[in-house]
Amino acid sequence: MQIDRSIENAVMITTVKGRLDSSSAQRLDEVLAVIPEGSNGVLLDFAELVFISSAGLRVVLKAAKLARGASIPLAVCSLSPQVHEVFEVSGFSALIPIHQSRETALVALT
Amino acid sequence: MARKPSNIIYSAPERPPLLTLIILAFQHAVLALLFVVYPIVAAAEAGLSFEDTQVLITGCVIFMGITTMLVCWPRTGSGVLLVQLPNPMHLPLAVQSLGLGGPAAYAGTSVLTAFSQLALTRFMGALRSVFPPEVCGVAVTMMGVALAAPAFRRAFNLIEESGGAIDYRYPLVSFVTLAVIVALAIFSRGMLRLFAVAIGASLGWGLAVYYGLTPDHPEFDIAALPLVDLPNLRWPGLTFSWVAVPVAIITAVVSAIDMLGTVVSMQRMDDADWRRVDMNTAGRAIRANSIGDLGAALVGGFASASSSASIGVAFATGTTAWRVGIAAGIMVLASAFSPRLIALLSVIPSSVIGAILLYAAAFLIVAGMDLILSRRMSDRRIFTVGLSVLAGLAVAVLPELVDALPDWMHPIFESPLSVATGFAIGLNLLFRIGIRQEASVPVKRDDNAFETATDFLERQGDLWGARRDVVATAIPLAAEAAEMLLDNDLATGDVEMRAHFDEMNFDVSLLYTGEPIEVPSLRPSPEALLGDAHEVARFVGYMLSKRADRLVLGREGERQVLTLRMEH
Repeated sequence: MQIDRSIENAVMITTVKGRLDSSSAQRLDEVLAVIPEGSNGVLLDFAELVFISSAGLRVVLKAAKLARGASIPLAVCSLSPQVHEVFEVSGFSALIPIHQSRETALVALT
Repeated sequence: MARKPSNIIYSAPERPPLLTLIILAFQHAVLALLFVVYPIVAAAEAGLSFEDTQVLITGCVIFMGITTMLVCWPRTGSGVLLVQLPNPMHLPLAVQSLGLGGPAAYAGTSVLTAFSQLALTRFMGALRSVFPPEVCGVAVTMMGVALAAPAFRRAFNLIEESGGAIDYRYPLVSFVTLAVIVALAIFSRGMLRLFAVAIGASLGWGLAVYYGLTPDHPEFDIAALPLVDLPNLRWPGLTFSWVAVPVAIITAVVSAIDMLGTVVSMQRMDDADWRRVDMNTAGRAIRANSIGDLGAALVGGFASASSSASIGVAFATGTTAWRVGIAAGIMVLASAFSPRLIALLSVIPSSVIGAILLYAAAFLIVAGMDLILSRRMSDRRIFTVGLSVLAGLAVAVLPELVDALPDWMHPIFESPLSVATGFAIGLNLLFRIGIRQEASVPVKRDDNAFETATDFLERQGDLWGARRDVVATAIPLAAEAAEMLLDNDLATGDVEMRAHFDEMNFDVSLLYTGEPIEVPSLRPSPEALLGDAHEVARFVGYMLSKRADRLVLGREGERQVLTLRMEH
């Protein structure tokens, strides 16, 4: 799994590529544990995420709770059909806003 | 109900508006009548009298109409648009038996063929493993290839009388006809596309008349025939010739395979989510055709069958509605009451027919390839398909190979379609030897469950020829289940991942020693993922139950078994 971070319009964007399972969830958990000061929002870009297991969902849930605690909106974007299905079936789509593209997500978060 | 593909305007159960239905049916009826050329060829080859030829054609046309209705009507046949055309597979049988003993001998062998074909339908359900998509795909592709020779022969007017010289007026007519049909099918919408074949054929016919290319049939005195009259039928008598028996049975087998290929083509054309042959429907269609052929035989008519040409028209018009078939059947039947009309049909320019055949051939070749590639290709499948197509092409391009065989084998080996399909069936069965339908792999605590599941299930999917999308669905589910069992210590040791495949289901089971998981019927809160192992297992259990076609929990000895079923 590859994790990249960038800041755009004061939104912290975390791009995850590859698989997010029990072997890689810990790394993302550590990355998402810190929200840089001055951030207006957190965006998880899953355009190149091919698989997410329950361990990955747990990390996303923890990040959402952390952001909510800091009163910062968190969203995900660019889900593949397979990952989108996981978000739908698990009920995460009701908890976390899902955007079709990074552009629409940034508009919503800023 | 099947999901309608985007290129289909009227799917099988739909009811087109009356005028549209009539025009669509008219195109099919005209096409069916164009192919009366087959019995005309058989009659000419066997040296039948004018009177006997008329009976052969009239009986053919009457039962072509009746059989079309039987095959299309959902209660008796396929429930899709399968207009029956004179069966070219019967040509060798007709030429041989008509030459041996006249109409009575052809009637006798046709009855035997119809009964043989009828008997085959009893085994259709059990034949699913004999006709997996790649075998059907080879048959459909080779139907297109088999059409190429008669199509080009007509397009270039390559007949003996031409002495090998090409009169460029014939290919000009043919390719203008083809270009118009293809251009309308690709670039037009609505009504123009619906009647692409009819418009192309009409323009081509007009061009042929302009160039003076309408065929001359001195054996028919068309003007002397009545416009409307009762059909000229008579009991031909029944005699059996043992020499014709092998050819009769082979004709039945090849015709049944042909029919199966056409049913597959139509099912696939009609259903965007097509997965496998509906053998019940195919069986009903073949049964209806056999009964119709039996009737044709008893009145001295030529047999009919579903044809790639009419499938090409269905494709071009974006219509698979069975009601169009019923209307076409009625029109064909009605045309038998006009002897002059039937005789007139024989003057339709062969270069126009050639263009229609080329169009149908192109469509079928690609449709067959699409079918072949719908399954994961293993080495076994690559050689099943590749060698079968090569075998079919061998007899097509090297007819001397066929000439070297005994005469009674010619009907089988003269047809690239029957050779390729026969090879595909044989190689598919042969290459299945040694393939176990079940395999397993251990998933250890240090393994990456996703990588293990991917390697294992893709390998088995290739070996079994499972559908790509089914294997792709199974991999993340199996990985999720294994990861959940191992990471949450529900399994006290390694997990065994076991895959099982039959043509109906692709099952992946996780066997482990430890506690069973619970699968709630209501979705647990996502907060469960932050809870203990049992809460996580309940959450994952719910997810798996919703994403697999079926989740089954059980025991095998001391071990728990969690089975994910994917319908295939």
